[in-house]
Amino acid sequence: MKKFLYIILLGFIFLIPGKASAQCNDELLNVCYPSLGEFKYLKSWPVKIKKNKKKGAPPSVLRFNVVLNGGYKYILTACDAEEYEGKVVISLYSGNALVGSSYDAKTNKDYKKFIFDCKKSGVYYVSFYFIDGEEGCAIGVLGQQEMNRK
Amino acid sequence: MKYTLPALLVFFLAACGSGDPGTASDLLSDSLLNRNEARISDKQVIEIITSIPNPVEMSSLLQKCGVIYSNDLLNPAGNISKYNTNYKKALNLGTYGTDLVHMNIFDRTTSSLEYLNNIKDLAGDLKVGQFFDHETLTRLSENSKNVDSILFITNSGFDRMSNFLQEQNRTSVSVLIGIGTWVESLYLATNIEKATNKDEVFNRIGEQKEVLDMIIIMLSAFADNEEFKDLMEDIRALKIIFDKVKISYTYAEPTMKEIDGVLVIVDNSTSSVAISEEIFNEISTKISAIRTKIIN
Repeated sequence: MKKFLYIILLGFIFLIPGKASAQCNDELLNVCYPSLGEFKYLKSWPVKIKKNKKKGAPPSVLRFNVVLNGGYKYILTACDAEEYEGKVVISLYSGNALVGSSYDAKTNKDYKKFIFDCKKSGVYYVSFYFIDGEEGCAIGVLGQQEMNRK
Repeated sequence: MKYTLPALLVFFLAACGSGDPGTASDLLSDSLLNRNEARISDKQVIEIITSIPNPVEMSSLLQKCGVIYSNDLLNPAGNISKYNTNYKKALNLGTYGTDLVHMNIFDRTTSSLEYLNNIKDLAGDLKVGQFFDHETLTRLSENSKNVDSILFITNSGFDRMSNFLQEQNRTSVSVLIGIGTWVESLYLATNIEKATNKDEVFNRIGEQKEVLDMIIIMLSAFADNEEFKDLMEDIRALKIIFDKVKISYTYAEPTMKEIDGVLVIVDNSTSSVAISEEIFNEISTKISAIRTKIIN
């Protein structure tokens, strides 16, 4: 409920000009924040990657470490800046093993976000790339399931 | 063998780097210090700095476990007058940030004004004050119903500060803020007299062993910086205690399902932590000593 007030506040900021602004700057996080829903904000990663010039080369990847705790649900979501073509993909790895990704290349389905029901505490890696190696700017956001307060 | 994991991680990070040979540039000191070489690059520090947990996680856990809030545990607001170097300012921007989050989690929002002012001043001194929305936070803090908004503005502000510092080749400042944040969180979590679920707090402390490994890797980038030497020795001494904590894992493939259009991934791996009360108390004593040096 408390987050609702903030979302309303953001709505005033971004809806007054007529449409939500999601340009490649600090405001992108404010625009992406409501996609956490009932999850509590933990971290964000700005992502900016240039177009891959080599034909056929895999997309450039940015990666960051994060420690997740077993017994908690997390959400990993990402939002693209509107002035770039690139569609960001956010993925989670444990060591070298892919745990999950917002994009299923086999079905070409872009979920934009995913929930991770974590059972193993430890260091994970969050990675970002843009589909087809396009140039892009995005913000990745990690949220944790709200815990009941007193 | 005690540095095996960090050594492997350094190797892994070096192997996975994009080839960018950038060094861990340092604009921390009031007078710049020369360093011969960095152990890991700026880029690698940036990759691992986000392994330092957000203080929201620890304070929420303490609140959930029935820990009694104590104002006496916080870094006294008046201590700010002692912080005359950028090194101290960065560390204590972290401690005050954690304290602010802690107060809000425990619904002490209306008492947090001095901490908001301290964060504003320290961030301003470090030339990152533009990322801390003091005016909005002060207004929201007048009403304890705004906790989620306060936490988002505070935490996203710290993330933006950290990103800006990294862009400005001031990674060392970002690392110090992170260490100050982490040490203060551990101090609050290891000074609990009563809790309805102490085991969960003990486990969370034990899990910090992996965070500590990351911090040691990050600090290696500043090994030639005189200002970091004492802190590094303390962190290494803490590592010797944390090595007594045993963490075991079992791996199993995760499973995926789609619920109402949202992809949900269920982890089937598990981890368990073995930490005795004796080890917990040793960690508590060492963290208190490190924290005393940081805040004084």
